[in-house]
Order: sequence, then C-alpha cells, then structure tokens
Amino acid sequence: MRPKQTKKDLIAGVYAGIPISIGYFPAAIAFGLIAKDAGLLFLETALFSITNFAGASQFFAVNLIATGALLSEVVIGVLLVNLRYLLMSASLAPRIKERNPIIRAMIAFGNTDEVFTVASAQVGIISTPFMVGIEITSWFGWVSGTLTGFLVGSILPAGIQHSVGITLYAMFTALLASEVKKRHSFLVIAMIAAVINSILIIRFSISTGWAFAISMGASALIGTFTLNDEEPTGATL
Amino acid sequence: MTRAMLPYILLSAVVTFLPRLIPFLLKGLDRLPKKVGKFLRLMPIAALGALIFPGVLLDFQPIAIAGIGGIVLAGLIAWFRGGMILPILSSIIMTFSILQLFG
Repeated sequence: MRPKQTKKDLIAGVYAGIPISIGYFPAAIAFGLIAKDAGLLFLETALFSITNFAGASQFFAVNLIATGALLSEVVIGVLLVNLRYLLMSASLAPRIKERNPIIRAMIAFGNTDEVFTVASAQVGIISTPFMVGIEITSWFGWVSGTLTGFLVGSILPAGIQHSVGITLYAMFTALLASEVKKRHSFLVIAMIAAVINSILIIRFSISTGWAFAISMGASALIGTFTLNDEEPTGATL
Repeated sequence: MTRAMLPYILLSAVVTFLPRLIPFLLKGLDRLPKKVGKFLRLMPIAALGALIFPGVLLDFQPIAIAGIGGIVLAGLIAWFRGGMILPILSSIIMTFSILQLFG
C-alpha cells in the first residue's frame, strides 16, 4: 500500500474510534471505581484494562474476585461472557487482508463489540491502518477512563464509598435497558437468568461463578429455542 | 488484596483474547449453524440478568431496598434518556440516600 493511502486510512480509523473512546470513558471510570472498591491496587486495575480490553467480563471478573471466587470460576465465567467474539471475529476476519499473523493477532485483540460494529459498517475490504487507528483510539479511552476512575475512587468520602457498590448494578441495568429497547423479549431472557441464578445461590448455596455459568447458559439456550429469528438477536456490551 | 491478582488478570485476558483471535487464524468459522450464532448472541443478555440478581439484593443487606432503589432509578433514566453517566450517578445518590435514611 502507498504511504499516502496508509496515512489517510490511519487517520480515518482514528476518527472512527473517537466516538467509541468517548463512550468507553465513563464506563471505564465505573470499572476503575469498582476495582478499587474490590481492593485491587492501582497497577492491577490498570493491567486489567490494558490486557483484557473488555467491558462486561472485566466487571464480572472483579466482582467475582471480590467475593473470593476460585480462579477456575473466574476464567470459565469470563470465557462464557466472551464467546460471542467468535462470531464477531469470524465475520470481520475475511474482510481484513493483512497477511502477517502477528499484526492479524493484534487486530483481533482490539476487536471489541463497538470496534466490530463500526468497522463492519465500512464498505468492502478493511485496511490494516484503519483497524490500527480505530482500535488504538478506543483502547486509549478504555485505559485512561479506568485510571481516572481509580483515582476518583481514592478521593471519594468514606460515607459514599459503600454506595459506590451500586455503580456496577446501575451500569448493568442501564445496559439491559438499552438492549430491551431494541427487542422487548430480551427482558424475559434476562429475567430467566436472574431467577435461576438467585435460586442457585440463595437456595442451593452454589458458588457465584458456577451459578452464573449455569444460569446464563440455561437462559440463552431457552431463548435460542423459543424466540423467533427476527433481528436483532444481538447484544453489544 | 490478600491474593495474587496476576493469574486472575492474565488468564482473564487470555480467555478474552482467544475467541477474538481464533477466527482470524482459522477460516470457515463465519458459517456457524444459525442456532449456534443465536445462542452466542443471547449469552450477553442472559449474563446481564445473572450479573444483577441476586447480587444487588445481597450486597446491601439488611437494607436490600437500597440496591433495588438504585437500579430501578438507573433503569428508568437509561430507558427514557439513554446514556451511562446519568443513570449511574443518580443510582449512587439514590442508594446513598436510602442507606442514610434506614441505616
């Protein structure tokens, strides 16, 4: 590719990443707050967002860690939440003609829900510089928001600290509200998972990680066979 | 934090990266059976339900209403106005107020 075109594509990618980055920033602040509340150190919190670059699964992992879950529970739960990326990468990969496997892997690393959605809206072949631009911009928003959130958590008055625990649930509820707006039957799927999870944890004292995996899998399975196939059937978290 | 966090952080990173990576290295994964695709896309929705309950009830015991009040307000604001910051900030104020009143 000619250098001029490379630069043009890189800049186009950065521009496409700016709205994503702005959207990530407040959610990442919430993550920084929650990680601090869960007892993680500054560097641990930073490392989480730097290496994972994922929304819901990072919140989930930190929440589980705070309850003293086993490593295996956290890993399986995180994997389940993130299996959907198989679909997104499978749909995006054929449109990216990059040959170098290391660069392909780097592009795969940054394929979040939002990056996927915006990149998919491009026409035809998607160039490597475009992907690099959109992903670095988005990643920067996620990481900088995380650090900001942790620091904000450090200066919050003690009286408010306990209420910060609601941040996590408020965020999940806000996400759910926006999904249910797209398709009302999603509320039923979420409620089925909520009920199964509550029964497993409260009535049968099953540990949080396994209860989560079971209730999520069961509810998604019920939805797969009961919801009709009209679009949208997708979620972006 | 009393436990070593590094394995948690890095293994979470690995199982986040692998589903994103594998289709970039293998071909043909874009032709998954329709039902499998539907199942994978419904997982995050189901996850949200399980992420909220019963956690929001248990975290604020014995004043469970503090958690409920917070998410109901967050849900309503997200529904009618959208966004993320306003629902979250309102829920903190709501939960804080309820804890002050009954705590």
